[in-house]
Amino acid sequence: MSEESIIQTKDVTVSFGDFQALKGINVDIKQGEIIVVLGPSGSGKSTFIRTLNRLQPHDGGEIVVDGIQINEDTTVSDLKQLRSDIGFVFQQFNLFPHITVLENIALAPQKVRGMSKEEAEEVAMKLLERVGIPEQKNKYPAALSGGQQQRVAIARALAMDPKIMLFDEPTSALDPEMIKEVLDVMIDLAKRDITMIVVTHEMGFAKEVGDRIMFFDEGHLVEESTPDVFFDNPKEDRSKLFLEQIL
Amino acid sequence: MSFNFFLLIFILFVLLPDLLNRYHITVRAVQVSCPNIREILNLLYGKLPRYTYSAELAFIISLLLTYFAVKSELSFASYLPLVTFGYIAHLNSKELFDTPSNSFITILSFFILYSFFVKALEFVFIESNWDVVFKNRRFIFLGPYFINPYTGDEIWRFWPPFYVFLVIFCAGYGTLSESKVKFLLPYSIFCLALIFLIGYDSDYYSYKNGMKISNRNYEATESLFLLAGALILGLISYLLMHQRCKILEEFQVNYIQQVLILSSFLSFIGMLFLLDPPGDEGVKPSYWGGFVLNLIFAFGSLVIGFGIGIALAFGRRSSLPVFYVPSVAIIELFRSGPLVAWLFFAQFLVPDLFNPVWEADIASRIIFVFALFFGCYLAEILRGGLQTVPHGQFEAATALGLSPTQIKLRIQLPQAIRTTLPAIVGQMIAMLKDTSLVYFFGVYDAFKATKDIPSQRDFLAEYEEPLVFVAFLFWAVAYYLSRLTTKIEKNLGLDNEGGAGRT
Ligand SMILES: Nc1ncnc2c1ncn2[C@@H]1O[C@H](COP(=O)(O)OP(=O)(O)OP(=O)(O)O)[C@@H](O)[C@H]1O
Ligand SMILES: [Mg+2]
Repeated sequence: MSEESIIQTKDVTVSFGDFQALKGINVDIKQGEIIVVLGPSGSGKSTFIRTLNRLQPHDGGEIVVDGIQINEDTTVSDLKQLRSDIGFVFQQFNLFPHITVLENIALAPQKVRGMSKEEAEEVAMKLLERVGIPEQKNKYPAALSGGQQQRVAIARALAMDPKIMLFDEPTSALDPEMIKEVLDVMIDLAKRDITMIVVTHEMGFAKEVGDRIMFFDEGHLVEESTPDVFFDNPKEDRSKLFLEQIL
Repeated sequence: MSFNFFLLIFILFVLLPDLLNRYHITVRAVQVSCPNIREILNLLYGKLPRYTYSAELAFIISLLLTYFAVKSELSFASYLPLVTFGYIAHLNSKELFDTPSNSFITILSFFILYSFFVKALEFVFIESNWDVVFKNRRFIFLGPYFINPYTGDEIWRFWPPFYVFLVIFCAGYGTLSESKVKFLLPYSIFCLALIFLIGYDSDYYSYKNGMKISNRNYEATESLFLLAGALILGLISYLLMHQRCKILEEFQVNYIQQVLILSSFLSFIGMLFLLDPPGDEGVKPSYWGGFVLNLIFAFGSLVIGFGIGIALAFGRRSSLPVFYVPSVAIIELFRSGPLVAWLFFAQFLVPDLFNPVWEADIASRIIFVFALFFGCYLAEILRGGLQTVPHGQFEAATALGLSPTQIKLRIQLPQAIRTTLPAIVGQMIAMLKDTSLVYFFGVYDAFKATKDIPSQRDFLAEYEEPLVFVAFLFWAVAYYLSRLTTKIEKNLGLDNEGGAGRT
């Protein structure tokens, strides 16, 4: 882990009408750090990580990702560059149902990075092997199990060779027996030099691989500490309450 | 008609007593015999053996007997089919005659259907003279120019496209993973029909507007050889593709299908160029005609209309007024006017508008109007389809860095087309039928041809048969198209996948 910041936010706010979902978030994330975001439902976790690649525009404060300032004035090409450097994995997988698994993974490298078809498919094949399902390459997503689909989604994000990976509850839509296969892929990923921000309810994962826990509640970043401190000796009352409820 | 009489007898002596009997009403006159219909049928047919297909067999025999009755015009013959229909009734008597009201409905609907059927048979086989259709078959399919003794040589221009289309088409069937019989049986019927239509050389000519309509210099042998070549090539392409697709994976088959669809578009454009290449050669569109012209109009407007429809659909969904306003305006304008009005517009106004820039002939102008009209309806269908594409698809594609245009064309549009395919084909069928409207404008489409046939010297005032025949042609193509979509839908797995719902 280097000491170089890759994501910095200052007083980020997001409002939906009168409702303020994020009420001033300040974070400083170093390159290669594994951040686990915890918090009760509706606390703004998804909203926060979606602001980082501007899937969710913010209305106040500053976000700088990889040296690029993100706001209304960010140019289209900067934004494209930024998004292609950030992988995003959704709770609902969001694979493209009309093309095969291999094509799902190879699409963006061709269209965004301008790779040739062969190159892109080679990359895709390597990633499919890495997530453990090379034999499924020619199937359509609907023919895969949930765990397999999510692994394809991770491979799809990795195909762009991102510097940052964002995960929004990647295992919440999965049957219990499939959660492990996805977590294994993520744990393997965490060992490499990639920055990860993971919203999850998997406390085991948070303890094992998290460098830092960020606890959100009601639009505030309530607590930031290492997993040891957070789980054994939380600083804030609200963190304690949260841990009592889920453990 | 003796059947009405028979019906009356039936009601008076069988149905009524049956009813009365069941409701325990005794009337002196019928007290003596009040048979139940099921009992009667059982009495008559009870001893006959039943086989698995006896109902189907009896039905075919009944139809044949009906045909015989109609053809022979013998009075006793008209009762023969009732005997076998009675047997069918006996086989199904549990469902058909279980309550008095059901008995009544059964018998009433039987006689209504039966008399329609008899009338239709009489029209088709007795009263009509199909000679007029048969002798004018080339005229109905191709219009006057291609069968005129002086210009008819140009007909060769249809052969290369015919070859190409047949090969593409058969290959397309090969990609559907179905049993061979399902293709080979209809295909051989299709072949026989074509051989009969082309091979049977009926020598005939007549004058119309000073133009000779003739089969006289028509050389059947040459055409037959050409036809045989095409049919065999089609068969080969089917067999090869069928063989190949068995070992290919689903995504490769899909890829082949896309290539086939694209190549049929390209060959269509190629066909137009072959018919009327730039320069003096070729046949000007205003000389094209017949049912083929209807198909050309339909296909051409389909290709152009798809482009228009896609553009309008996305335009209408755009949040920018520059795109949004014109799209809505065009869609609402064209959908609110009747098609005939727009065709008149194409005929009389468009030339004035376009002439300085583009001297459009009537055929292109008509295709232009059809394409716009089709495009507007398609836009609305696609818009509905686009709304069903989950927002997550857009987000996932955006997060990967794809541009808005790439997302629209590569992610949203294919999914929208898949879910709205049935509606799109319905619109295609509607457009095919609408092409018959062009006969208002002197374009020699199939309907214009049929309208002119009764003025031929030999077939004066024979209106009905050609019209029925052309109506049948349209029906056949439309029916075929709708059958085809059900197949494609199954192939896409739309019926069990539930669209993009899972992702
Ligand atoms: N598009 C939107 N429009 C209106 N309100 C929204 C929208 N997106 C989120 N919100 C609101 O913002 C708040 C934070 O939502 P967010 O999805 O970030 O929560 P979360 O912490 O991810 O919760 P969960 O664990 O349930 O996913 C919620 O109260 C939610 O109702
Ligand atoms: Mg969430």
